[in-house]
Amino acid sequence: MKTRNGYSINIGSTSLVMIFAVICLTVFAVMSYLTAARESELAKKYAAHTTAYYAADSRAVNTLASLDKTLSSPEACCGDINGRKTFIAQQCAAQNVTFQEQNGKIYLLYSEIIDTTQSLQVIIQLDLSSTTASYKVVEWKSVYTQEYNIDHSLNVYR
Amino acid sequence: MKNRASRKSGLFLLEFMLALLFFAFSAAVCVHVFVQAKTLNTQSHALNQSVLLTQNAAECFQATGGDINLLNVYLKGSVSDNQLTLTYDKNWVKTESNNAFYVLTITRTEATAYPASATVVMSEDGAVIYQLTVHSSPVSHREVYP
Repeated sequence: MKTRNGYSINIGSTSLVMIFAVICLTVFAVMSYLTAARESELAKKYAAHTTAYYAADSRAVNTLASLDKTLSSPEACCGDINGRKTFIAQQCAAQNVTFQEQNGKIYLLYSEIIDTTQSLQVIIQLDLSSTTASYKVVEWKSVYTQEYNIDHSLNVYR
Repeated sequence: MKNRASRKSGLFLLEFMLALLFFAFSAAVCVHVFVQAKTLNTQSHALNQSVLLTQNAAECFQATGGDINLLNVYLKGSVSDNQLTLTYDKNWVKTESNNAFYVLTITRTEATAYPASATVVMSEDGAVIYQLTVHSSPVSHREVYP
């Protein structure tokens, strides 16, 4: 029987270790880059939505300011109640604001589009009992204009 | 026998050199990808923080009815000519202006305009990260009941 003297060198083991290390390194690099890219995309979406919300909010504030001007005019403050209501309703129609009377209370409704799925809804309650047409904002919130469907599907190979 | 062993070690050295070369090349590419991921992550973190702080300032502006001096009571910055400036360090902690890395400015566009409007800008070394235009609500002027 032959006996082996000295140590033997395993040719190919270096390549195997190197291939394993490179695969690990590549997988982690790709995963970290993809995570960072998704986070960046999410941050941009969040920023765009915030910008869109404040643009809608600014438009709603401007509409409220013009309604405020209408309600402080003499036609809205003086005269009989029906005449005041008619004047306010006419002014609201010109500004795309819905005039609504419900259970003896007067509401002014309007909305501003935030994006394709959301809009800012504003409801103002009027009080014409005194000589000044005072009001309060009863609703100032973003609402979904489309049905809210969460995508639960996962593209996993079965 | 000796000749065979020396041929084997020569082959191993060649393989080792080639593996090292390939590994170095792959590591260089991967490190570049890691650096890009880190940069992207820092940018998105800065954008998120900017949006949050800008939004906070915008809400405070609305709550104070566009009064810059009253806004300064809440946000505690420095006021000059209808402009409030807030400074943050690299870790987004409020700091003095000489250590500033991020700067948030709230500028009221017209002092007498109604409703009051302001531009809120977050910048880093003069480069704008995020900005908003906000109008303060006129409700406080006429609201009679809570």
